[in-house]
Amino acid sequence: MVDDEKNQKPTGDQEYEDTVVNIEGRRVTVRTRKVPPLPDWTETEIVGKALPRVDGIDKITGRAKYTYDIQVPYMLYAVAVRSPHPHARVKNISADKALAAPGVHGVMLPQDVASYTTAGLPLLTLNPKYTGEEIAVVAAETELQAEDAARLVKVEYEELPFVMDAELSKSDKSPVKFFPEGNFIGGGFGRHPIGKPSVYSRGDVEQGFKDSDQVFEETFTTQPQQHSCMEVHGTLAQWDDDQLTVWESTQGVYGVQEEIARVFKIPLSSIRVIGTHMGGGFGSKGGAGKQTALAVMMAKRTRRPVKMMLSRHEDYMGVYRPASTQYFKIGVKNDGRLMAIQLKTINPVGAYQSGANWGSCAAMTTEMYACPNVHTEEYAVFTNAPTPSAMRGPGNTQNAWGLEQMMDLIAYKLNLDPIEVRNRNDVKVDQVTNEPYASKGLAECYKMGAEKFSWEEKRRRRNDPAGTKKHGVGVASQIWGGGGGPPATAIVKINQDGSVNLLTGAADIGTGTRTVLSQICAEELGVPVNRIHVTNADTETTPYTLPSYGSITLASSGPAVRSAANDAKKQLFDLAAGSLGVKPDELSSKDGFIFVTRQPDKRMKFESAAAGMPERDLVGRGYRGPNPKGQALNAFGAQFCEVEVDTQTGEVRVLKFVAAHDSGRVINPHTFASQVKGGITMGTGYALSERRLIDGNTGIPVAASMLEYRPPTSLDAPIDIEVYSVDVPYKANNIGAKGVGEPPLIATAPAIANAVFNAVGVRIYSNPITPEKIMLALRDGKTAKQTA
Amino acid sequence: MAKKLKRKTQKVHIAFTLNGEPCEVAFAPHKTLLEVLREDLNLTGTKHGCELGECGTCAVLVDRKPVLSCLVLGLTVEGREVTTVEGMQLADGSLHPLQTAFADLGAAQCGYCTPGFLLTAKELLEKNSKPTRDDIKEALSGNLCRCTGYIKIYEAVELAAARMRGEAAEVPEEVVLGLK
Repeated sequence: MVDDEKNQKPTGDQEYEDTVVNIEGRRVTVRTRKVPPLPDWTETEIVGKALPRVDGIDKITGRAKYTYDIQVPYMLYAVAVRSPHPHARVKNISADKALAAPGVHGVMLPQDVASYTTAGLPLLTLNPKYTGEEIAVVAAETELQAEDAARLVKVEYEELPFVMDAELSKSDKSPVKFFPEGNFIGGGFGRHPIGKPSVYSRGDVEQGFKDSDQVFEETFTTQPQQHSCMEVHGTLAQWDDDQLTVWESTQGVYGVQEEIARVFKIPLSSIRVIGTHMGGGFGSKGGAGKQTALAVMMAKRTRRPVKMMLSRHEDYMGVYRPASTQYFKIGVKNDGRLMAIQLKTINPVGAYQSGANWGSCAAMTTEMYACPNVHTEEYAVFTNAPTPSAMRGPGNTQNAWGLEQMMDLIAYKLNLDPIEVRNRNDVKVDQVTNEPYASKGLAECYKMGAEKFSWEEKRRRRNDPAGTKKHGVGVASQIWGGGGGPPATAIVKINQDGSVNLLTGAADIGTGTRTVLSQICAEELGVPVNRIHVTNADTETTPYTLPSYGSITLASSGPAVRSAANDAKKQLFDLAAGSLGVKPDELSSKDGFIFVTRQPDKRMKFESAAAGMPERDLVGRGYRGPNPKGQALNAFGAQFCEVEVDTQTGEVRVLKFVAAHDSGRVINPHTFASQVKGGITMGTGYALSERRLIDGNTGIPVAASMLEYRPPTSLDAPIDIEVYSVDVPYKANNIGAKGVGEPPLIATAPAIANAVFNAVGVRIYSNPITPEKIMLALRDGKTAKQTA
Repeated sequence: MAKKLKRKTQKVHIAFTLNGEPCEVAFAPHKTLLEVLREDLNLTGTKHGCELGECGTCAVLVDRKPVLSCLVLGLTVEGREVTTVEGMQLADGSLHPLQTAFADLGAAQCGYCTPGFLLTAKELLEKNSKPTRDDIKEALSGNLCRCTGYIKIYEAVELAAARMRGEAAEVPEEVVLGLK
């Protein structure tokens, strides 16, 4: 990770400067080299085209190898022994029987790994604090042998009191004391003292409420959400003497490499991490997992390669987006202007302090709308549950459920169009930092979305009072980072036949990174995309980049790729200029030709120029430069939704979504639309069906399978989704693009909840919106506050 | 770490047709078809998703019918015909129209669920050359995808079906308007 202390002053002629990168809502200052600016692309040939994915054929033939698919000779399988109790002390532990079992090559106990932690968590523990926490690990020749032997590890537990409820944990009645200072800490990254919430404040909310015409107070709750990646978390570790190779299903090979180096104090050069193909991440695979360190250690001990893939059940006992309770109080003028917002959030974050990083969700409330008086208080509360992680749009996705329903509620009470209320509170300046947005197309999103959705017409429609299937429409908005930033490096190698290798450390987690980076490279070089072969996410062959999180990948690695391609192109132009009898800066390239800009018929083939390279190849380097100073870099969007609610069954069907997003330049409409459609479907699950349940009486997860957790199937997903880009110019990086990975999920669930309210007049304050909650709310003729 | 060899694993030996070719394999009798394909035959195109029959990721065709290979023992395919994604290509080696359509439309994102979808859709199109959108949804409802939101998958199946019927089918224009 980025470490400020490492960023020493340069002594050479390379100039560096500090720049701010927004990663998952936290602003990180990094030192980065200045890079020469490139002219804006005005007309593009390859960028902006809906080209098929460059790795499509690998994926549809089964050739693409994922971590789970890698098999090496003498490979062992590792399986964890996990605590069956939510809180316990291990009195005795014995591995004797397990070690004697067939095929077993090694067992690791907590005392074997006591000096190691990863991401603030013990690798194995004698004091489990949640059901499923790792106690021991067994490695055997087959998975079945390892599973059988894991059951033979004899563990005697003393069960201890546990607490699952955040409010109880936070109170002085909690049966468990996690820290002497209390059971909660300020939510979010940064150092917070235990026992105090994290607070953000501007203006004077009390005065703001006094100045308001109306004040609304509501409480919203969100369920934990689980990533449910189709490929579970897992690692294969292989030592060859002191060289370690790790295959990891990850969003960031360099993050994994750095963590292994930190944990085991071995040089980075000795660690190769490969994560070329991976089966989905959604935030859960941002760095090394416990299984990474355990597989590496077990491989060292047994002198055999060790594969440790979690089972689907274990996967569901692991990381997740934390739940939230959001206490809102908003004061408004009768014209819809926000005068004061007070928000308290309770975020249960499991049993370890590192979980508090994700125990924050108020950021969107502080920045989305104009409001002079804002006060937020966030409590990350410890409970006997697993540690959460980032999940697609962490924080804002929870917060949008509350905030965007509040905006809808305010519009309803003031008898205003929900879009009008949002427009009246629109801002051009970041409300927290006072920096102007580099670009903001939210008003365009409302306009285009409303038009494509026929918003006004559909809002005027009335349901047949006698009918049992009620239609309703809703809208919600979103803000997210997505501006990306350094560090990200790319290498472009032109071969003597004119073919090109693009090397980038960036992960392709299903988003289309390989494809869009190839397009950027091809555009800058002026060659067809099929001349580019991209290699990615391998620490030995591809250069450094931050992990693919925070929707930063395109806006971080994309500009680095363009710079690298430009560097390579300039070197080739130096050679071609002689042949064409002009100066290098008089040349351009397009469609596989290098030509004199003012005289396009004076040209040579790209490969002919390459054939003349004395060194037989040339290498272009590109670095992601700094972000512009004093500007806020954010992606925006508005989503419109139509639902049908069956008043006899409480069932909600999502008929249509229209999503209008501002992500700057769209590099590939296919991959852009795929991100949005996939995000909306995940958000539909968050709104309607997904629920991770832990039994409060036993502390045991009871929905730890796909069947019970219920990610949307083809029958649950929205029937139709239309995707629009408002294409507002963005100049904060040299490709003009912002990220779109996370934004589509943020607005989806509240848009559905608002549409449900519009359809049947009941507001559901807790997700998922189950038929039961709707039926109870309809029966009681009021809003379903108490039906969590 | 040398251990005494006291165990005796009895492997079973079966013969079946795999992707159109005769195949013999020996494996521990408790192994599922998924494990036999991936671990003993090294055909890792068939993916491991949940091992509980809940996600459809491991779907293969046995005697041309979709089967969740994590739920059946390898032993059960003795003498039968098994098709995995590695065997989807046509006899002349070209890609199956479903494969081409999935690639053309970007219906594979992370790609992990794709083999299961392809094989399930293949059986659908063999039964029904002109499926409606609802037929497709119904047929694919046992296959989970966490990336795409399914719509591109339906479009790919529709495109493949049209091409297989010999209709001149264009790749649908992506509906991202507002682009200059």
